[in-house]
Amino acid sequence: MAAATTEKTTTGFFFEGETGRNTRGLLRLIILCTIAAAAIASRLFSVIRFESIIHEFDPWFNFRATKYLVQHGFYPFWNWFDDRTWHPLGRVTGGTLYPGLMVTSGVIWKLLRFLTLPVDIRDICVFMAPAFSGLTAFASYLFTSEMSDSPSAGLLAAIFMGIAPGYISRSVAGSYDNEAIAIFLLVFTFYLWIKAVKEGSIMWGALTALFYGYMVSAWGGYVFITNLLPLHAFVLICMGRFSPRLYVSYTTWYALGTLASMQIPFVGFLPIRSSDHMAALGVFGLIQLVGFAEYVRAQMPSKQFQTLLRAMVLVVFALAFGFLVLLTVSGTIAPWSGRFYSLWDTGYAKIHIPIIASVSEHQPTAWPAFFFDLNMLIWLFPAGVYMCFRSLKDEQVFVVIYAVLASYFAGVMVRLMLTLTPVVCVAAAMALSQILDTFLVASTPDEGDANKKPQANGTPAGANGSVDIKQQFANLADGLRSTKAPLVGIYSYLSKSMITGAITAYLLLFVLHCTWVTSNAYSSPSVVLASRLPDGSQHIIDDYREAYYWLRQNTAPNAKVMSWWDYGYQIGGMADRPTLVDNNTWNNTHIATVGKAMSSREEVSYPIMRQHEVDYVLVVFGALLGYSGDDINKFLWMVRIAEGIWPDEVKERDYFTSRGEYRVDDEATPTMRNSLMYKMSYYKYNDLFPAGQAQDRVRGSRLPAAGPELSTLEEAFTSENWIIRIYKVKDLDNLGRSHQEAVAFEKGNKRKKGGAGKRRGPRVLRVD
Amino acid sequence: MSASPLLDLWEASASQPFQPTIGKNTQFTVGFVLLFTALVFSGLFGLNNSLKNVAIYGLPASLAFGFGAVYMICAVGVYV
Amino acid sequence: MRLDRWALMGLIQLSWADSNLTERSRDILPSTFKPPQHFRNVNLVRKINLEKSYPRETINVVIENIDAAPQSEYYLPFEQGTLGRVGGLVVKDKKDPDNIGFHAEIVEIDPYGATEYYKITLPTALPSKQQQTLSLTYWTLAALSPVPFQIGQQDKQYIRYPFSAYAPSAYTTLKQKTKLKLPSTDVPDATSLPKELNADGKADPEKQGTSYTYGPYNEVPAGAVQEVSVRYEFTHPLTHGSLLERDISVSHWGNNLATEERHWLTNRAAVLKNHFSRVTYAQSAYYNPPTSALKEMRFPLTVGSVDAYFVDDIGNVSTSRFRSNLREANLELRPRYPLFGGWNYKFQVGWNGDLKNFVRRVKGTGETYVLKAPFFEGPKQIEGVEYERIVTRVILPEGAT
Repeated sequence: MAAATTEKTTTGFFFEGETGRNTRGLLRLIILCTIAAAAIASRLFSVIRFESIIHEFDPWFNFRATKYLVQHGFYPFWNWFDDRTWHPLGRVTGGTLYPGLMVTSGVIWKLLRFLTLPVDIRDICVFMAPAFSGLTAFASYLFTSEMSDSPSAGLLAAIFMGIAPGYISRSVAGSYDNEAIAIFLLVFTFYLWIKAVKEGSIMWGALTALFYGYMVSAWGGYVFITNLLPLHAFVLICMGRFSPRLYVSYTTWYALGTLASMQIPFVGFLPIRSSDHMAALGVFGLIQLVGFAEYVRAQMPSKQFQTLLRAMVLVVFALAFGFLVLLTVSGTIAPWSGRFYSLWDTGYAKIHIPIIASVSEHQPTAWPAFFFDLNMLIWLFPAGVYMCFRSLKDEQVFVVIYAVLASYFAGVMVRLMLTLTPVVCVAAAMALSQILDTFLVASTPDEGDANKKPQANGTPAGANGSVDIKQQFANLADGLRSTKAPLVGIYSYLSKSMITGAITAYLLLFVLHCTWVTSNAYSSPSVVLASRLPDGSQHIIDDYREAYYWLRQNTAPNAKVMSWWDYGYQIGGMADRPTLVDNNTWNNTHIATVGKAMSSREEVSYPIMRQHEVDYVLVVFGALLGYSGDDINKFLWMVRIAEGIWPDEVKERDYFTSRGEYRVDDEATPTMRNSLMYKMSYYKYNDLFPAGQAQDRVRGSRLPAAGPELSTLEEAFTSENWIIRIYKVKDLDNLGRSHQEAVAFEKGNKRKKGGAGKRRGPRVLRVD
Repeated sequence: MSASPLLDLWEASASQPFQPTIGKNTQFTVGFVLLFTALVFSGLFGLNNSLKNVAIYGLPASLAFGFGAVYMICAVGVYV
Repeated sequence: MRLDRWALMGLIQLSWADSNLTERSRDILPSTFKPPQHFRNVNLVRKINLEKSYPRETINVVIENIDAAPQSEYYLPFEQGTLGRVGGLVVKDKKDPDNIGFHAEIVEIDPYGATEYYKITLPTALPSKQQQTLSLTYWTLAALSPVPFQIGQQDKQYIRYPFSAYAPSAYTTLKQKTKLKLPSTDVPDATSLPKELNADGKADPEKQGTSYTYGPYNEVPAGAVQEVSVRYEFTHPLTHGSLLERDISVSHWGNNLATEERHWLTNRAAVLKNHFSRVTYAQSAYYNPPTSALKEMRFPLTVGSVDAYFVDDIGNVSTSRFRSNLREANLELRPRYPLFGGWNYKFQVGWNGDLKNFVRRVKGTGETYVLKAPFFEGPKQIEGVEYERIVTRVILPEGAT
């Protein structure tokens, strides 16, 4: 479509001269606006199907932080110490988050209020990601336009970027996460960088640094830029393409960008202390040396001296590198972070940091995922990269490096598909625009005229309208005939129409696929589940919010809730209650403590819960509904993480049967059946079924006839479909008995008298 | 209940219910037409921006956009 | 009619709330204050209706001026603390319903006094030795308490209502009786009074189906109290709204009247002895026994209301139904979880309506409009709902004066 609009060769007022250029500009603007609208619209499935709601887990924290920001103002937010998470430790939230997202929505909120548009902060947060994806489409238009001379490449890249599922997966309405704005910043920073390298201007370099600073404030993935730009510079130097342009843009970016990034408390002195950032520093040093050497070489005539100089540069560089390694080994510079190691060795996390490995988005990518997320772009991508090799200018080098690195990372971790998507869109757009520009020329090229239409440009003569440029190209082609690539012109209308038809069909299929993937895979809020009733109507399963709202309304405002860390942010955001652990996962020991409490016997767990002042315990249980993302399925991770800290007390082996199976039925191991998690999950579940018929619909197994008994906890609330179960931790027994004795006594008593025994005697603290 | 003068006033005005020019059912049409006009006019203005065109295209476009936006906002259910 | 009564209840509550702020400095009387004994209650019949989740008392009283001069100020006493919970007070002339213009106001007494008064000003002063029949109706909020306080999830709930067998009065009462209307015949406790007190020499109370009668009693001095209480079965929620905020916004551009209500509800019913059991609850859902849990609410809205929504702090609640046709518009909603005793629920509902049903242009003026909108459209429950405080805001279009 984009190509077709620029293709119009109608002579007339609108398409000639100055007005013609304006018309094309206007059309381009309209197309870009339409693309942005399409990008936004395709992300609204969940809002239309469900409601304007924050999705999943992390966004709930961001939302809560944003509410804190707009409620208390910027400085209290900056200094926010949150005592409602990680009880009893608390979290220095202001210093351990990337504030870019919250500040952005806070600013938008303030701005709209200033314009007397009182929009709810929740709606701003929900629609933040779609709005920024519109901007991302625009940014990728700019970026691609720098890469390719074809006017259609940018527009194609924009629409690809707008609807590619790989990006939509992280930016549907409601997915209020750092990536929502970070991908826009990523692409835009790259655009500014390319612009800076091309122009060699301090202004563009400074702008790059500015947006880089914004990016640092928004997402931890900024390290990708921090390493990619130096790598680009390094490769250019190695290719012997050092130029003052590169020097100016790189030094400007590095100096200003590093300063900007250090303003974020969470980043602080990392840029000069951590290994992740050392590449940028090293290249900064190298570029000074090379710059100096270049300068000296220009002054020095002697050939020997130049050789000496080059040797000196190498020696200095090697020395600096050795020094760096020394500092790292001695510990002055922080070694690579665990997440970084897991990028190189996919097995690393599984062995050393189970907490990282337990997150599904940190798993290595399965091959079909590439096709699923990118569809036809994935096979256009190599073609586009090849196109970059054909005219290997500075900016094309960048795309090549970006493509290689991002492809690797995307293969290692599912979530890094996100960084790959932009470059795939750009490369695919370059390849496709090449095809379209070649095949969509309506007029048959004649032999003589062929020279006037250089392939590299591909702009149809009529569309350009400016005779000067055409003439120039013709002259150029004549003058440099030997250096030009062979010219291609398509004569047959048949092949033209066939190729055009095929491409159109592919594009339509692509749109279809994107819409389908977005609608089916990426538009579920996961807080609210949808199911179909037999009559086809939609039924909403809202157990999470039911239970969270119950907690919010009917428990003491500072009642501590213990749950597995996945639900920490949601409890904080929706139930507004203090939690023990949450998705921030900054303290592995604390998480392991919760894991131990969940995986041990009641006698072991109860003291742990008392020590942490736990009032309620929340578990997710999907057996009734067949909801597979429940805590029993996550249970092994709890065991593993607990085992990492207490290898003597918690052993993963004990939870498997002798045949190595993970079972919940009659054959489950005693350790499994006595664990708190098992008991809490299946407590009273048997009562729902006729005797001995209790069925676990997730694990597909029949449960033991006798359900588990709880003595230190009591059921406080269970949601409608049993997905969330909340237990209250009992206070110490009034008579100083152990809870087990008390429960046994009550039962015996009940059988005899049908009434509770008299309570007498002073409260005695039981010493465990 | 005691009769109050306001209630009398209400009864007296029975024949004159509030009836705006643009009803709820036409809000979307009006809003859309005005916004589209605004788009076309600002496009035309963008093609040839001269002082004369401010009066011919610019002003109507601004007005159409303003009112169109109000009606469109109303039409989607946010009653301002 | 019901709606009107509700509206009135809210209105008076609101005016009381306001008077708290504005009139405090004006009319504080010493705690030794005794209303001047200008009147005498010749005959008094009090009906206490306990069929709802709040008691409604109607006192029909024949008053006689025993002073030499015409008098117009009649005092109605309340115990300390009760007056603040009076949800509404309606004064009528029993014989002559068209006789309007009664005025009731709270007489402030310093906080250590045991009794507080409503001062009712008659429209026309009652001449000496003349009689008039008044009908005083009032509701008391949060007056019922479940006994026992903790019950099982499916147990019956019993409510205790303490009151005085002698109607509260600041004047000597010659003859009086109190009739109770209970919701059921299951009444385990009702205080018996000795025969000697009764004018007819019978033991109190006299039972007849679900109504209980205390009295008649002979002359009782002013302020006499005979404490009695009844305890009766009432397995329904005691829904108590601690606050209702209501916004009515007029949009002349959009031709729309938008209403939004924010409710803070608590169920004052007996709390669960053990914790909530989903198994029991799910099983009971099939035969739907009476329960003290609040499961659903029905909002009768103004006919022609559209776009109703039901949300709470964390988003939309999908368990609501809105039925709208030419004759009625009903919003039926179920809270996220059933509200058992002691549980709270905060939610908001809202809807739109065509402006032409609410706003009219005033005849003979250019740009003057009159707006008529309901002060209060609460949920309509069989067992009733009480609201402690209602704030209604009307938001007029920008620039309206």
